[in-house]
Amino acid sequence: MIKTYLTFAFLVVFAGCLHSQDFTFGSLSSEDLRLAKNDLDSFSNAAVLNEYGKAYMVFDDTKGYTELIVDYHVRIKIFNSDGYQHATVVIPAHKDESGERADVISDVKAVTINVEDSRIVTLPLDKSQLFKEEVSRYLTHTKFTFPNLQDGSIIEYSYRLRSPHIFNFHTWHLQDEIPKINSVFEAIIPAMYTYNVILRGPYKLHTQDAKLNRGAFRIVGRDVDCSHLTYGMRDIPAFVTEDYMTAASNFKSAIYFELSDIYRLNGTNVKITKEWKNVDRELVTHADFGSQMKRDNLFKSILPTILADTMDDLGKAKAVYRYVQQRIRWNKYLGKYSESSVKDALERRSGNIGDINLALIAGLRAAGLDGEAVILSTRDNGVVNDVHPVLSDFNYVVAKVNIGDSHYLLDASDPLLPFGLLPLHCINGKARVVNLKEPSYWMVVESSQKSTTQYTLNAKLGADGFLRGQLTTHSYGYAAWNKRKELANYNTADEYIEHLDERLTGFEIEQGEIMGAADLEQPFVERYDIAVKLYDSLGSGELFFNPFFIRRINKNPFNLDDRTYPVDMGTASEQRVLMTIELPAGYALASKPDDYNMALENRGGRYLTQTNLSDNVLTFSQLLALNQSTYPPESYFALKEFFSRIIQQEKIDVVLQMKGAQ
Amino acid sequence: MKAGWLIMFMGLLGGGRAAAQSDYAVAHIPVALKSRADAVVRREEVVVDMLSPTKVYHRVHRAITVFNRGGEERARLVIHYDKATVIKRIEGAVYDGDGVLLRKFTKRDCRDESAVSNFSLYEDSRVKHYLPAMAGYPYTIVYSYEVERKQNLIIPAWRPEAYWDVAVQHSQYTFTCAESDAVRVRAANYRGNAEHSVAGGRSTTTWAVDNLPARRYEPYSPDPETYKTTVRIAPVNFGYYKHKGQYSNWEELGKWMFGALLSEGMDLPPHTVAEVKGLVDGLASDREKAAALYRYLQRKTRYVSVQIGIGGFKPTAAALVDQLGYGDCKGLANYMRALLAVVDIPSYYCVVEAGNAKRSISADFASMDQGNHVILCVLFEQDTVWLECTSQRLPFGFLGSFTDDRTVWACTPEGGKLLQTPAYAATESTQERRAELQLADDGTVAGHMRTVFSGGQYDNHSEIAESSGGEQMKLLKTAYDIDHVGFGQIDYQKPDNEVPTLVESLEVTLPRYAPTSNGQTFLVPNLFNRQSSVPTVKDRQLPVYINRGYADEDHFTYTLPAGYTVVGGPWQTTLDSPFGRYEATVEQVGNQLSYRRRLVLHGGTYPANRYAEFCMFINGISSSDRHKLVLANE
Repeated sequence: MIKTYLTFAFLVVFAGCLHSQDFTFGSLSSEDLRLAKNDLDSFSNAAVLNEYGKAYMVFDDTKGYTELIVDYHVRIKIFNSDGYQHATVVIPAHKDESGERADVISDVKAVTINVEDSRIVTLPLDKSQLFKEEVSRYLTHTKFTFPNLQDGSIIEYSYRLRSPHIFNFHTWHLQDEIPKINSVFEAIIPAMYTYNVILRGPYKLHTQDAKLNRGAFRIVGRDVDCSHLTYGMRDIPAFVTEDYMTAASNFKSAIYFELSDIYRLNGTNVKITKEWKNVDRELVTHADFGSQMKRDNLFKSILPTILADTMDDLGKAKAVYRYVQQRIRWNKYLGKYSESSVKDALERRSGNIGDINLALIAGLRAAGLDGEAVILSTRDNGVVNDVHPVLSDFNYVVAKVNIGDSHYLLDASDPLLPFGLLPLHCINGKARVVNLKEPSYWMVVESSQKSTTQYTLNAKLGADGFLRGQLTTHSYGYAAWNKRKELANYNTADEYIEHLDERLTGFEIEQGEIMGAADLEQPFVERYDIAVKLYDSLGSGELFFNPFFIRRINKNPFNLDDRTYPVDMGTASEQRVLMTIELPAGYALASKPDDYNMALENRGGRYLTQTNLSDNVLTFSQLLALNQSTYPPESYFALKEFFSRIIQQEKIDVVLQMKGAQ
Repeated sequence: MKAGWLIMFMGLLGGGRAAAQSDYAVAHIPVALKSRADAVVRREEVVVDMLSPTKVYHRVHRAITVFNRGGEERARLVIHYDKATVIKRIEGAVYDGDGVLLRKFTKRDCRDESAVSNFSLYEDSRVKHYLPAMAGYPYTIVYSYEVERKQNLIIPAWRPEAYWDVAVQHSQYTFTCAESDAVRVRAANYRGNAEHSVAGGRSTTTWAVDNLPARRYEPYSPDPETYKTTVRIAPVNFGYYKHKGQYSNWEELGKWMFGALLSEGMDLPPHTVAEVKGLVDGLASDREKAAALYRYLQRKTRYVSVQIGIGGFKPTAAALVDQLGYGDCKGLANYMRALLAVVDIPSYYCVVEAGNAKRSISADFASMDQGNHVILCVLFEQDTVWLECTSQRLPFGFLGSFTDDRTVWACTPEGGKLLQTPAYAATESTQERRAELQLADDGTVAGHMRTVFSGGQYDNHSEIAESSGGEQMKLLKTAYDIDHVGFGQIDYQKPDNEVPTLVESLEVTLPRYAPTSNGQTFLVPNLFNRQSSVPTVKDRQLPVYINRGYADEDHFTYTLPAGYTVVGGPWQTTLDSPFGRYEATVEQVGNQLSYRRRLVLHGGTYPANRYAEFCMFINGISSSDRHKLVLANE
């Protein structure tokens, strides 16, 4: 992720001043009319011609607090009917828990502008077609779509957002799914508020300007000066998503604000962006965080039963982890704070992430272990600010237990996770470790195990053309976790196997068994007696056999010409296939896929295949290893080519020939 | 808390707690109902109490045991409501596997959200729902709720087998009304007799089912409506919002619908009337006029769903659609009807149950809860033409698989009528593909490919034809799903045929498609038309149902590099079955390799015991579609 911290020197000082830099509503330029599809890129069906936003603050005397006002205005060209989706507008308005402080959307104005018989025809939005949908208690959507759309329609709308939520001021999204020709944002910030401003994404600002507006903010009878910041970017490409990407917000160009200080009128200074040491104190004493970690007393009575006669620390940690994992069911709510309380969660046997993992930490502490809390941001929530402590960036908490020189990261919210393995959504870069006694510190959360699968086939090709034998699959780490989750959808292993048999149409599973399903720390092992009909009869000619029928890759997951963000798979992975096939007597190897050994640079990955025939026994092995969880954009082409070659290799058959049949 | 833990422990040890087990203990579930079931409906009692046309109580009591993760969603309590539906009461409890009460919940614990479906811009419907977070399986959720409905035009139907992975121990449905109320009842696939009683001027009927095991999902099976139990109720006298009426058949319901909801809202502004008249000026036949107006509709409007008021049955006025340039299926069909009326061409507003699976309106049971879409039937002197008014791309008079071949309900000034939408026979639903391709030394296959889609298959690529640029490329890559496939010179034509026809022609490139190893090149000659296989399940229960027949023909010619020969010479497969016929051949003449494939699949229903035969046919096609040729090169 590319981040730039924006700082300003006030070069120009104006008194009073100001004319807005907004463009005139409904007044088109000849460029607007001329712009055609493919002028910007080959794939976009709509484009933003111009976008303008202005955010400023007002003090509301009746409410007694400062509110943010954002005036938003955009003009979009719709090239064709595939672009009509960009003509449906949804404006979210948030409410806080109490339901008192709510965003308000007003002054919605929208027009469709068409050129008909070389005349410009403007059609305004009918007010009856403006809908407010109360999505939930905390969210309302203002929705509308534009009337009378045609290929080449220009749509334009503006609205005002009034919000009591000033902590993040207003995030300005420069980049979107469609390209933008121009985007300008003015932020007018009273001198009493200081924000850290961050530009995210790979592109440069075209305009960056700062002025002083004297006395532009009025609060309890006093006029306060404002900094007037202007940011502009031109010709912003569309953002294209592809597989293996974390939150798009990590990579899209945008300007983020974050309140750091408030200077009150009485001269005092409230530090909002704090030092970690202040945040630590706050967290440790927080009723829904630190206080919950300290509830080890809740485990006192049950602890002897949990620990039984376990003596060593690792055994104790595992026992406590198992207990909490089984005891509290995740109610599907995230959160670093305890939602009800650890006590409540243990009793009701249900809770949010905070309830569960803070309970785990309390339990670990009760067992005399060194348990810490690790607050983090999940993959789809974006990465955290690592310069200042911004608590709102963190939406999840896991436990860290330190035993001797080792440590283990634990999430008890999933009953199928083995000890020490975090779910993939937690693997998202930096996380902060909070301890009840010591200062907090950063750690990089990485997956402790790979996703590994190993297939072993021992089979015999019969004279009837059937391949019969035993296929054994060992799954480890994330692969085992996924299999266990799948198995949990069935009442019995037999039903799971039956379903698998129905799904695999080429194979027939004659009998099967599953081992290690219950012990989460063991590999998940499946053993199937299988039969595959390969040939109608063996005949006397050549036999073609494609050994790549297990976990074959048919499609390259990477197809972009250019990718500006990393490939992030969350975890390293490894797949091995080992086949031993006994052939009927008398066959010789006529040809086979070349033995292959291909590597990605810096040991990033490896693909190996090997085929042999000796004494009527055909052996084939294959390894596909992706050793990194994340590959930078520079490695994209190598990765794309890597998969492309694998696909080629997997099309090639082994050719067997009856001896003497030449 | 400690006590709870101990009880659980004792349960595990199987100590003498059997006597303490409540009715909800899992031990009480018959073994047969556990097989393949992700959940079991232990007991379901639905009571519909019709006090008056505008006051209908709907009471539900349900107990569901969840066995595993796959069944979790089945435990969710979901109540949809709107302005004419008031939720009076919700209460429930959760029990563990032994039937021990864990906790209770009420309306307060439910989440309340808007229920705007993903295809709508706005609807005024909402939903309350609740799902307990439970620490393990099995567990049982028991809830009851009461809803008051201020209309009786739509009475909630009873469908005890809502999900194939859920077994039903007991489910019953009771309908109560005044003895004097006339009510029509349709019980489909209900074995047994309903219990009927009269007391104190109230008439009560109860239907019940017991011990229905979970079903396994079976591919190629008929519409569940044809074998699952359903009871539907339609009162003769109804109240609906501010409307009142009575009906006993489609004719009467259609008459009411037309009079109450369709007779107004046909006016168009003068400039549109003038424009419409101008468009048809000089056109001789009504058919040509209608076609011109359909193109006008397609150019001018798009589909946007907004469902408000009157339960979503009344179309938006034509004048508003005219102004906005969008509407939902009702609004757009009504707008087209208004456009046609300007030039004195009559048309019928027709309610249809849309979807790829063909489902007809029940001819002998009229009720307002049938149908989910509206199309238009245009009447000419000699014949009729059907119009799908929500599509910008379908040709005039073509319905496509969404609404073809089924009974629909037309609302006319003379009353309701049942009509049949057209069907294309398998022999008319064709896809013919010709390609002249070159195989290069590096394995790249490239050349020109032309495909003609007709009749029932017209719509296969019409979305691709109408899109452009990157979107079109993306759709083509999905349709021709081979790694790194490339396209050029993309062109679509719609010749003026009796049967709707789309001609696609393009240059196709498949880089390094046929790899070479040790002097042998591997080529799967069937590039794009590969039949997917079907699972060979034993013990098939349901009949085999093929929704739609069709005929496909592929002919690919490959020009091979000099010296390439097919190992083993010509190849041929023929599969003949009651379900259809398949033939694939490979021949080489000189450096020309020819691949031909022809498949005719017949639509229809076949007995369950033919499933094995069906699998053999389909899987035979599937494997020969993937037949790989080995080319020896000198």
